[in-house]
Amino acid sequence: MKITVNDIEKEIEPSSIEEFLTDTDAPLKGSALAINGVIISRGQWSKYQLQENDSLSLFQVIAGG
Amino acid sequence: MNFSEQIKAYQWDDIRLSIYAKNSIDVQRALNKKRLDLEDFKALISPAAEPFLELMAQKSQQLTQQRFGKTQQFYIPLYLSNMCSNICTYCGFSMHNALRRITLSESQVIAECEAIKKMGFDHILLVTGESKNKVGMQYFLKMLPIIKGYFSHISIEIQPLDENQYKQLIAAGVDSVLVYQETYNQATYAQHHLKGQKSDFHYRLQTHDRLGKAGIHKMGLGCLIGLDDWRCDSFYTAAHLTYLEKNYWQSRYTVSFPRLRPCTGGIKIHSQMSDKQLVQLICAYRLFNHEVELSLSTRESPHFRDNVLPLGITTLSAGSSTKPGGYADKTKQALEQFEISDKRDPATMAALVKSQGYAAVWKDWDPSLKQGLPLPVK
Amino acid sequence: MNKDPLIIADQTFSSRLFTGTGKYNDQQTMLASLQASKSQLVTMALKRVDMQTQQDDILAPLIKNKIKLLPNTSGARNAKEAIFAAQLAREALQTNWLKLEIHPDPKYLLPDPVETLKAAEALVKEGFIVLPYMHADPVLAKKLADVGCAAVMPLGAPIGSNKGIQTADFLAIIIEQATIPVIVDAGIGAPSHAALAMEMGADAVLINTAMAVAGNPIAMSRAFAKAVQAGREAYLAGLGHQSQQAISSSPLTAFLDPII
Repeated sequence: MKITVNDIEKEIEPSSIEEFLTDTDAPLKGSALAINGVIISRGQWSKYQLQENDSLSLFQVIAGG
Repeated sequence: MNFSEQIKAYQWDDIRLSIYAKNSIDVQRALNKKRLDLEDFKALISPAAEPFLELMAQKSQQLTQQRFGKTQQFYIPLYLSNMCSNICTYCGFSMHNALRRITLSESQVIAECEAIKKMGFDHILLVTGESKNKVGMQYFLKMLPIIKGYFSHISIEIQPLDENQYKQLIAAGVDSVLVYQETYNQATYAQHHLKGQKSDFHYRLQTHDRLGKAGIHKMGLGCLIGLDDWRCDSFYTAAHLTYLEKNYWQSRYTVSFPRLRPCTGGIKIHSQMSDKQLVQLICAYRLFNHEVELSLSTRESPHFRDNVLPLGITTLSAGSSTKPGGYADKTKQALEQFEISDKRDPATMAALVKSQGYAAVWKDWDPSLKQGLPLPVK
Repeated sequence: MNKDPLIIADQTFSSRLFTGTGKYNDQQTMLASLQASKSQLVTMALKRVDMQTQQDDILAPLIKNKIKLLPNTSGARNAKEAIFAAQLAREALQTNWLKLEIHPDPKYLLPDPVETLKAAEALVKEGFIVLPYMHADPVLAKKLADVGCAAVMPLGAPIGSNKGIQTADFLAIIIEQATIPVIVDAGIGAPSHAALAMEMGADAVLINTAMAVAGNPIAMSRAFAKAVQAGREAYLAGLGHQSQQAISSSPLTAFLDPII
């Protein structure tokens, strides 16, 4: 199914957030995730099953003032 | 948070010692600073500051003019009642003083307001003793709308009330509330306030906190000079003022310096303050706090008032009477709270102020921005 | 035992120099500078990751050194975006401490007072420890304190300008009226500026650009640490400014002298 991650389209197998992020080797430390504009807390990542057309925004802490 | 908590930071004896320990270097440092703190205030009210009085007066005059302009705000006290259920050793209204007690009726209040209006005033201070049942919320809420019809600005000096009661009074037109702690030394306070609600030191001490929370526009504080060491009590007043300004930043403040005066059945003064020392205190306040209003009452002599007004004062009363009904009918005898020293009428005082290069301000406030209040009758 | 600790909310700091992590040429230099500064609180931003490249892990060394993390909401242009950024930051770093910054103007990065106050009130209610970045506006400082902010962070000059304490007169008023800590943030370009802010009575300063783009960031960080300490000690010791004061010719207090 199709989802977007940080505005980039991806084709994936049905999976939970945790499975998806582990598969893509995305950085997980200091990260936060929002799906369709709603923040999904880390505790939910193993439970939440990604849906068709879900729009993911993955944020990470970076250097800043 | 209230001032009863904050005051624990100050130990009376330590404060007293540290004031008297200030030397001329401390004073000079204070005089050269732009923003003074409480330590500087101590230096300015200490004996070490006496040789610097002229310099303090110069600075005080300059700062006051910069902040307030060349103006003096005129107001007059109206005693609504001299009934009182407290026993305070220094006051003519004390419960055990057996003289005629009056509480003004509605028609008497109107007569007083008319008489006062003819004198030119637009700022009025309503004063009562403390008599909760006879002169309580019902009485005030009845009289305030009447009085608000005559005057743009109402201050009150009555018994301390609860926050909710203050909210009601504010809604009824009260702009300013004056409450003097008399002395910040709890032991001394107990010696002078023997009976009645006023004997509760901490309830009184927390009044300004309640006022701030109620949203009062202006509050007045001060001590009765002569009950204890005036320097120490004045430090506490300054500390109280600083605390209040920080926590109730939308209110403004005024300080008075009542010196104990002779009154019926009154006590001998414990700690004398000379004229020179009062000038020192007034200037110290101005140097310490550029924005606080400083008020000089008719307790002080004409000679003193004339010379001190330009040194830092911003508010004064004139033509005052401290007995209820004292304006409409000058012949009636009732109990006076204290003896007036400067008996000159408002027109004379206005002329005096003008001769010093100041303008007499009769009206400095308009309630028309607040909704639902009657506008003063023109 | 630190005799002059800085307490913000429930946290105690012995260093009054806070630092940012941005603008360094590389992470190694950044971490070394932070260490040289002895800072106990650092700010950082949040952004959407580039999934292709591996990000450097800036967190691990900071957490290891027990440095307090202060995520900011930089990028937010209004209260709604700032609140969202705050929630993300809380998620990402597992901290409810937050530097609230909202600058809709990308040129000068000046903080939006209206949106900041709105966001601060909402975020305090959601349990955040809010440290708002603001212009040196004394009334706004009181209002932010009233809605429950843990400190205020008024600017000395625009971000990155290195112009120093341009807002001195207003900072002085804020410091005088404050019932919560005042952290001067933005615009400090030199250690002398930092010392001045501390001499004025600021509780702490936050430095980023001046350290990151210095010729030798690590040495500059050490200098800033010394300057903040010097300024603070001077403030506690009691500064006395010199000024000229002449006595005018007509004495105001002669009336008090006894007439003989």
